[in-house]
Amino acid sequence: MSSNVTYKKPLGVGQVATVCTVSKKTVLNWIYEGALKAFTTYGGHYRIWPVNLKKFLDSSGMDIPFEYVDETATHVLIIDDEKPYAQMLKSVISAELPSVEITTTDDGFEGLLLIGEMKPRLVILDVKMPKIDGFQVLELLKSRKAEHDMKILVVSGFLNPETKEQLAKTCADAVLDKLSDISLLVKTVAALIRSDVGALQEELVR
Amino acid sequence: MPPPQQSELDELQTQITNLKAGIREVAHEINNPLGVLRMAAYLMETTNPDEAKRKHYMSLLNSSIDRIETGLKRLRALRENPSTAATHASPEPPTKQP
Repeated sequence: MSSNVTYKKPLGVGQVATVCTVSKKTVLNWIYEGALKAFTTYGGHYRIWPVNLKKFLDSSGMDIPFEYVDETATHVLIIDDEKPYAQMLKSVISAELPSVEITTTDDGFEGLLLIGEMKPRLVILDVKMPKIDGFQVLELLKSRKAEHDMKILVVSGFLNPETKEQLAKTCADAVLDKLSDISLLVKTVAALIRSDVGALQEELVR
Repeated sequence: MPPPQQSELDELQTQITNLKAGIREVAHEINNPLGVLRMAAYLMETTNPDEAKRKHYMSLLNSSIDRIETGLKRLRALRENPSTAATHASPEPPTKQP
């Protein structure tokens, strides 16, 4: 396999055979033995997620150059110009939800670009930012949010009644104060990732 | 005591508006490092961090405490001279969706 090919989608048996320079029959044997994790399509064909092929190659000691994007991972994007806060928030979520992949940016414009590239499951957005603030980002995300199954959690350093009222009119799914209890923060993030908005406390839901 | 002139009332109103904006600004500035403190304390307690991470958290704790101290100094300055609020405060947030 050429090392500059990046796989994103599940691979067929033939593609795996090409990557590993073996026959299709060998790949099927790996699947039958349970060494290579695969799933079956509606039409009865085997498909292998790139992440599972990578695990198989690593565990069997096969040194094959292989690049992939793990689309089974849950991506969370944090947009906050307060770098120390964003850094700590990333550490807390990583500690509590280790399977989540987190990217941070301190720039709302870059955040919008990253949303297009990453298609994150959840965007955690600060309100007060230079260049483009949280309200403007929310306005621009309104249409894209409907296209993708994406949730938005707004975190703010100062939530007064007017700000809350304004946020209630946006496409934000939940709003939290930056001083919120950590367990509430983690529960909210986990619920939004699961799209379980019903699990959120009533006052958090827009 | 004579009733206040309209100009005096206007000036007072401006001062109150500036003071509110200044307080909001300082509250925002203090809440960010307070949030960092809370999360750093949580991670130090729950994750048993290695030496490098512990140093990193301590550095964030110290810089956050410095920021909170700066915010408190600004609050004291606002109390002593409300007119300084205008020089620090951000403009009022939009009253409707941008």
